[in-house]
Amino acid sequence: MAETTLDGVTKRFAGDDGEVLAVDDLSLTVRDGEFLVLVGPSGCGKSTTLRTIAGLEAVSAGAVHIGDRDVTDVKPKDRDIAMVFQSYALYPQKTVRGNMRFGLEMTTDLPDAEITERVADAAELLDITELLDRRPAALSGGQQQRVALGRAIVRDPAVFLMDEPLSNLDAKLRAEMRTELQALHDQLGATTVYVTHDQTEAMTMGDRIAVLDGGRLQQVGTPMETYYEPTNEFVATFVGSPSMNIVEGTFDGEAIQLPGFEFPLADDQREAVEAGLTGETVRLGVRPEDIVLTDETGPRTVEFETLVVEPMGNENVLHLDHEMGEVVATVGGNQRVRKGDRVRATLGADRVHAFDGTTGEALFNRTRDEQRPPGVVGARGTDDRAETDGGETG
Amino acid sequence: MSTFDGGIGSRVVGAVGSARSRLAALADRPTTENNLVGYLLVLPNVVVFSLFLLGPIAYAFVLSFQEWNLFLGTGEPAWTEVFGVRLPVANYLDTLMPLPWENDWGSIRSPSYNLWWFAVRNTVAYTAVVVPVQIVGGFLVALALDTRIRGKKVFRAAYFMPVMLSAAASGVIWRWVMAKNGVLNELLRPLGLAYPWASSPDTALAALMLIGLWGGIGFNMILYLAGLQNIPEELYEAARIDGADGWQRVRHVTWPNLRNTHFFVTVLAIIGTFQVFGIALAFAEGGPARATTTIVVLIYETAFVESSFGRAASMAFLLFAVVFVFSYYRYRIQQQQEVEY
Amino acid sequence: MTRNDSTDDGTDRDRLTRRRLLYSGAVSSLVFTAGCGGGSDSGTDDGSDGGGDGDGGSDGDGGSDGDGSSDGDGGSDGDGGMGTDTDGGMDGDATTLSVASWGGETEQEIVTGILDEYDSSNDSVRIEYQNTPFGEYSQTLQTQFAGDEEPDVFYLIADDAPTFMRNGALLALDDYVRGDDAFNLDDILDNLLEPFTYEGTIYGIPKDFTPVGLMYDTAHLDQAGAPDPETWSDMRTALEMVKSETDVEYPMAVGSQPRNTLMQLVWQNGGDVLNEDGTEAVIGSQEAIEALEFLNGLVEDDLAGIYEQDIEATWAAPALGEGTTTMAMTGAWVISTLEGDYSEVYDALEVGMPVPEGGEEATVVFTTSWSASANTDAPDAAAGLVKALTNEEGMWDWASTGTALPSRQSLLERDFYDDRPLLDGLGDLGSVGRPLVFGPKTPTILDSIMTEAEAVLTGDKDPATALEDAQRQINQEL
Repeated sequence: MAETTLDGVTKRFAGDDGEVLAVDDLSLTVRDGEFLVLVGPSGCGKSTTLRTIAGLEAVSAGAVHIGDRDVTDVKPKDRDIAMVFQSYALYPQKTVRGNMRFGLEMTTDLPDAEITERVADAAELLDITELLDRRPAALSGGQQQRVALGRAIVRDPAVFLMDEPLSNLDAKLRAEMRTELQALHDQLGATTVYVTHDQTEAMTMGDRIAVLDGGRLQQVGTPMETYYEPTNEFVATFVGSPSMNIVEGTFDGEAIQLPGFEFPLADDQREAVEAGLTGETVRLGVRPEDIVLTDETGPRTVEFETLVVEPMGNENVLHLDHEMGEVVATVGGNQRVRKGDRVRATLGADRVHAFDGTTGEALFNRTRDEQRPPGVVGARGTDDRAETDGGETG
Repeated sequence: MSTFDGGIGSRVVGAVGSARSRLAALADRPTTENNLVGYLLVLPNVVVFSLFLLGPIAYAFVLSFQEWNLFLGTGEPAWTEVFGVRLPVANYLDTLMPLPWENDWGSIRSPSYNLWWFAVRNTVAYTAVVVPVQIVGGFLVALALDTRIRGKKVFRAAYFMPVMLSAAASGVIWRWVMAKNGVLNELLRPLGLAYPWASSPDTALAALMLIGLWGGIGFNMILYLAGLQNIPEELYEAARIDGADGWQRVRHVTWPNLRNTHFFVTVLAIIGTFQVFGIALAFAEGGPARATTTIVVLIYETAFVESSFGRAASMAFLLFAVVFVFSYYRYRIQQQQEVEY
Repeated sequence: MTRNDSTDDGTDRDRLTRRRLLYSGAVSSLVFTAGCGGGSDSGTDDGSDGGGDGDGGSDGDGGSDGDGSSDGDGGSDGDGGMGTDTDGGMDGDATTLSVASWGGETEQEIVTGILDEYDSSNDSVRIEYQNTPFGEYSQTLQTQFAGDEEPDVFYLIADDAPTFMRNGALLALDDYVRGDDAFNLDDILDNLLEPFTYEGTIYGIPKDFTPVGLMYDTAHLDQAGAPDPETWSDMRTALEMVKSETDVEYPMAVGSQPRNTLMQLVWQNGGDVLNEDGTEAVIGSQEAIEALEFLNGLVEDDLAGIYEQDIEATWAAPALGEGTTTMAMTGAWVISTLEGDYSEVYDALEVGMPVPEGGEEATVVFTTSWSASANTDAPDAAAGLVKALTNEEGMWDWASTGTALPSRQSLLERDFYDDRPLLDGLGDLGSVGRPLVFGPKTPTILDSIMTEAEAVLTGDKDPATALEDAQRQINQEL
């Protein structure tokens, strides 16, 4: 177990049209025992970042530390890491046992009995003991996934690296494995760096999330932080589903002028905008669940025409039309809105985000109010889950 | 509708009939109908195949039990007694007898006893050397050319060139190169190593093996290069993380992942080497002193030089049996492995 | 086993024809089954005698060794399309005879010339001529027989004759040639007629022949002060002297399968291939072994070099002509090339045949006949044509080119040979010449002996073992 640090890591690839900058001056600390998720759209550099930690890619600049060691120029096998690949990368000619033993046989001089024991333990942990003598081709995708995990676990590495390990599974299995991976992490307490393009996976699994775009680190924080306190418009729109609505307007010193609508600002919001704004345009952000249908009228209520209704069961996703553009709102699954309905909705004063129209940086975020729901009657042992959720500013 | 069962006509009827009856028709007899169309589609091929390949092969099989008289254009069963039973297998017995151990393996050592067994010896020796070296060589060259080296396209073309050359041409070229006063000896003479490689019975077969390798490595290289493209990069990365260095990655990842290529290459190589003919004939006409008389060269000479067609047919079928058994067992082994996974 | 298809009724003929069709398919399938398919052919000029002495041809037409002699085989095989329709409107009752031979331009011209003449002087006969390169000739002819497509009149090499005769494939000529004074059968050399005679019946008239003689370059011998090779030991001495006194590296040339060289040595030393009645092989005899030992001794001591290996030339004419070698056992087929391309050497060449002390005079003779198919529709016309081609006039037309010797004593005695010492010298050997014919198994027998000899000359097989092995193999075949 060890803290892992990336310090100014930069990776350039030689491309067809000159160099491609895959990772740009990225610094990041993965805490000891933490489950950190690297997330971002494809091509954002998240996999490359993971591979520089693994040592599969040499960095163009910067340094990688695992524990107290500078491993920048250390071979992958000597970095004390284990990796789980998207395609599992199991050796097809070896049995499950052979796959799990291989790394230990190659890198350690552990006695045979010790290796056997560690393989048996890992297999039991993952419930694949009865598969040990099979070959990968005879396993289902989920079983192969477990074997790939097992192969990593037996190494007992300082850091687990996982490159989209669930994306080859079907949706149901993926949800199951998500939970299982979390449980496994809790049990092993191993430092883990997990790459995914799926923000849901990132939200549900990560102790912290590192959002990448264009090779640059956008924000590191707990899932709640990235959701409620995005540092910029990219993070705001990437995290959360459906995405945050963004409407472009101008700041007139008092309010934000949107097409066909004026959004009045509270004092602290106005001060934040005045302090941070670099140009004239402000982009107002509001999450779909924060557009609340209401009978009342008020300064922050807008009337929309319903274009499309997407029933999701637990909620209905409404695509609403207004002069300011199309926005998405969600209402409860039992609340029926028909296509063509005119609806009135309010944008809560403390529920909106504002971003600088030029830089995309957050000017202010919505306020966070957290409550414990009714029915929570106690906690088991140390309340680390709550602590994590409690949020840390990244 | 049943009158039209299995006929193409039912298609038409079905098409103009109601949707329901069409569905019923499809459910009733899709197999027969599809089969007939299928048979019609393969008919030309089957006809050509039967006429020009299957028929002659079958006839050659009949021939192998006959004493063929070229002038009468007729064959008579080649009768002989086997353990007191009269059977038309004289050609086979003449070919196989005496069995190698009956003359203290003389026919393996020298062409002076039984040419068939000597040709078998030559062929087996050729196969035993050429196949493994050809496979490993093709693999290694492919491996070398799969990396980022300068001018690899030139190397690939160079290694593949011999494959495109006809057997006759390469046989003749090498005959010149390895002649007593050929290019090879011009190079070796200063080292005191000049030797009549092609014209000495002691080295001619080895020289032939060299030609076989020269031609075969390039072919296998192409197959292996294709196979290499199919190995996922992630496997190599997993192996690097698991601590396998260069050669261990070749051993644990590259080699085992080319299983299908190995199978393909091995079967082709064995069948090819068992039937080596063109280069042997062009290189040394089976000589000197029979040193390069392989099975097919012997068959050729028996049929077209000696005009013993029945005898030659029996040899061809003995060779066929060997190659068939080989292919079949290799196929079975492959099948078993498939099931295991 | 007389073949009488011509008298068979149609049904039977159809059956045979169909079967033969299948047969020819089966031949190709043999190759397919074996999967060779490799485009190599037997090659017209590197057939089974692998770098032999540049001979193998039974007559003066250049032999099998890709020599490219001016009149050689393997030359153009355009078939001249001669004589097809010279008699125009006579088609109705004209008999068509197809005629086949090999031969380069010279030979083809002469043959077609004779054929044309015959064609135009016989209103009832039309002639179609086909030319096949020498290397493919024998195989083509056999295949044609198998397919009922054989020519009516054709060249037949002496080696092939026993097989053809035994199978009743050839037209018996006795009724046509015996007792015809104009034709004068007695004039034909007996030892040449013999290979085409079976059970007392004549099946072919030898059109020409050539004995094998030792041709030697007197310029080399004079330079070295060496004796003429009259005996084996003279010959060896001469070779040794030429090797030490001149810069000739290999004073003698021999094929790796010494078809032109070995058998006469065996005969001269009192050995033979088969016993008197042809029932048993005797090639393993002490006499034969000594002959091979003598030859191998020359090769081992680098007194004799092997064509294509030690000596770049592939046959005797260039080897002698370019002065790379002093002597070679060869036949008349080299003469025109030597005369045309190497006239200086030609003038210095003499021909003879050494014998061992106390041995008998003998040499190999190659001959080819004109024969006719037993199956011809017009046996009278076919036999007539054979006679026209081999009577004094027809034979001389060809022999007077000096490429081969006529098989008629009267022609051999003509003045023509007085100023042609090589031909004349070869002609003198005619009477002691023996064809390389040992019954129907001739090709296999010769192949066994020559393969064993090759193992001795190119490898390190012991001559005694080799010939004993050959004897055993031949006995197996018999």
